[in-house]
Amino acid sequence: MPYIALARTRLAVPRSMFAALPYFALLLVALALPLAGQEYWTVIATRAAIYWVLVSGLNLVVGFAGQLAIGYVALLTLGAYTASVLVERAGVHPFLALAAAAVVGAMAGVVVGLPALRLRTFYFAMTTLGFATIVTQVALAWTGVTGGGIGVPGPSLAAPFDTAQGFYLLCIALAAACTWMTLNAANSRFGRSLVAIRDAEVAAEACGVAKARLLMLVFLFSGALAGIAGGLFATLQSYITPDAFTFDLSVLFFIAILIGGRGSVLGPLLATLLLTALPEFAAPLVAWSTFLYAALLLVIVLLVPGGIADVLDFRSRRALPSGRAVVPRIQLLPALLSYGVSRDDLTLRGIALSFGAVRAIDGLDLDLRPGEVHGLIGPNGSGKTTTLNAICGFAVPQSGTVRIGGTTLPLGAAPRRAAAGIGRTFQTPRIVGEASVIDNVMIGGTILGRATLIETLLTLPRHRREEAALRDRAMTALRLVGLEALAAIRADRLQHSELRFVEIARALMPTPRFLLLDEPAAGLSAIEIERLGQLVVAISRQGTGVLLVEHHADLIFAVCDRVTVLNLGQTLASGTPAEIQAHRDVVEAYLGR
Amino acid sequence: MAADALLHVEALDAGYGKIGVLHRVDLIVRPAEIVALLGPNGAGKTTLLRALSGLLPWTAGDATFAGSSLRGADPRACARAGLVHVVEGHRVFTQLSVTDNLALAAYDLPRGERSARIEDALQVFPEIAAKHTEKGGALSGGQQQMLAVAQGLVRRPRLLLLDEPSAGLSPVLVDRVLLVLARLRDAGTAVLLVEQLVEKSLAVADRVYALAQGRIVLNAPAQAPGLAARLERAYLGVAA
Repeated sequence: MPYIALARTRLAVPRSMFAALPYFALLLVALALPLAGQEYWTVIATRAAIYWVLVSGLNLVVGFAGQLAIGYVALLTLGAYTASVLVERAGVHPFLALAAAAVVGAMAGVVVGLPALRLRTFYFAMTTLGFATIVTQVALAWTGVTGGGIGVPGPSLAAPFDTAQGFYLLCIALAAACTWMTLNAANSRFGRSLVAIRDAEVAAEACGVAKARLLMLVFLFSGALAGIAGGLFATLQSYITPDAFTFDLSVLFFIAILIGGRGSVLGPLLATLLLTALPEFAAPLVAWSTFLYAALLLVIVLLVPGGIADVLDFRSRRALPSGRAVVPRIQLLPALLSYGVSRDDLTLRGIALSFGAVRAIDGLDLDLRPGEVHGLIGPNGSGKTTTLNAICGFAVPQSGTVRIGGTTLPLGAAPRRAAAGIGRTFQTPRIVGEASVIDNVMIGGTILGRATLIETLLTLPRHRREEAALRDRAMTALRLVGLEALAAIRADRLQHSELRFVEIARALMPTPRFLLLDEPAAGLSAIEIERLGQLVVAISRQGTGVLLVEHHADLIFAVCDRVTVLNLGQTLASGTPAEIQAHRDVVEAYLGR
Repeated sequence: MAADALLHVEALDAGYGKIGVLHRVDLIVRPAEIVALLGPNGAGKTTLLRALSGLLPWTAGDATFAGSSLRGADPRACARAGLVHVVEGHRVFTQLSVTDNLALAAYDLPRGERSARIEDALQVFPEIAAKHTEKGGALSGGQQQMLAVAQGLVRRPRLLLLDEPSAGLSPVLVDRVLLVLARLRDAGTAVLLVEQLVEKSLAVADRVYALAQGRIVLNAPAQAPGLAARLERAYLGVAA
């Protein structure tokens, strides 16, 4: 054992160092830039650093959460005017004014972000554009405060930040801090949950990710950064008018993330530098900058759809070992699942659910007991998955109750089911393909986290402890299902059968009292089904109540303690496997031959 | 031996990027023959089907279909030539009605024939015929799988490539799909069937190939004595 522990730490340290290398290299170049004696370069680099302060926050919204927030120039404008007006008209200290810009930016960030809870993709994008237009118009019309078209002087900072070099170093320091914080957020339950919302929203909800709360937090954070960026931008420009905040800027911020690659921090950082510097160094191109962005975007979309981050992802181009087999280690189960004395049943009473005129479930009663495997079988379309969805809150029954012991679970309210002790897998695996296997499993442990976003951004001790414990637990879960060798691999490179086991590992993370498996054996080979069966039985013997929806009759009858047969949304038969196998109607409607 | 072949695959190599998956695969499917392609997950069965239907380029080797090479043929050309691929994982158009899903499958067929073909395909699966006005997304997982198979049937292909048609289907329905395959064969259609249900596949197939780690490790008549044991070894990657 000590040898294994040693090997792991030896591996872990260089890998994180290796990952940090590009950032340190960039920082070194940035710090050495003023030595080149070209003041013009310093000004451009200052602008790039300011843009990155904004883009780093926006990256969490667009690149991680997948929300198409296009009009972020509005927040830059608000930040710039807040800082400038406070310094110019109220005589506030410039640093206090920057803080105020952050607060205004954060609040405006929430206002911009609110529609994201209801509107999807293009519709949300349109509202952010609308907000940008409104802000510009207000800045133009509110002449008493903003100076209208004439504008207002930007805040000038006190020494040592009053020189071009001093200000540059301040911006670099802030940009570095933003990089560090967003990296911390990206590698935390917050970052993983955001990506899960983007790529596997239903699975994220089943894992207990509270989408609204999480998105609002991220909009607050990215808004604050955009506000600060606005204040710095005003200082750099030294005089601002509404004309300074063109739509081109919004495009630059958004495209930087697209070109950089979603779900990455390094990619958008490099893209921001590229997009800021490129038009400047090719002076005749300045007028063509929009055209240049468009061309770059086209090239990226056509040649490397994953963006810069994808080009830099060397690990995913290495071949995986072929002929690998998933061999669960059920002896590890006690380390993962240990229960108190709670022996409550999960009971469904009189569940009825229609989609329009179609009765999917029609008055269903079902009892799941801890420590038992309960099979749910029936013809296609008999309401099996709908029953699972009713238990998990994804489908809202018109009548009936779902209870665990004496507690009635609210109908609907899917994100609260994980905390109630219900975990599930899906008929077609819902996995974040672009995240690593272990990150996917860690998403399952989202509700175990207590550290706040601020603790995470600053990697305070509680966050570090939780993160380490979560990673440990996820590794145990992967060892349990036999996939630990693939932990660091992108999940979309796995075979279908392996994804089924990843889903089980993910569902086990929060120690569910009830585990609902939706056709886990579909697409598995005979030997894999046998191993799956052993795993399912072992999980139930730990005290978990398992509901198994399946079409492999052999598996059902081999592992289930009790079986319910559905037909047309009603119970056709219920009893022990032996009773069901002998049931004439079941044989006729379902089993055949 | 290959003179009467409808599909003749010779020393085919294919993969994703630089990562090779298939290595010198030889395979023959004759007209009116059901050939089962078995093997463990990750062996390259789906990759082989994708390579044959033009979804994946090859790196070496050749494959001819009805006498002409499939080299460089895109999925559209393959489908027009009568080689139809039903992909795995109930892929249907969720926003279109069941009828429109089938009409799409009949896209380039003569106008007069389309509705009759759709009717025929629906007759095989009364469960989805009863829901023909509903959207694909409103069907249950198993019904979507039926629809995917029905889409393949609409085209009345010369060769039907089926990737795990049984996944998500109840036992009676699996039996029915296999029965339909037997009927298709009797009507002259060739079928290349990728399946995990070994016994049921062998019951309906004429010949069987086993693929392990990208190589064909077994080629035998489906009724050959001692096949079960040879298959078991094949699943472990040993030439049998």
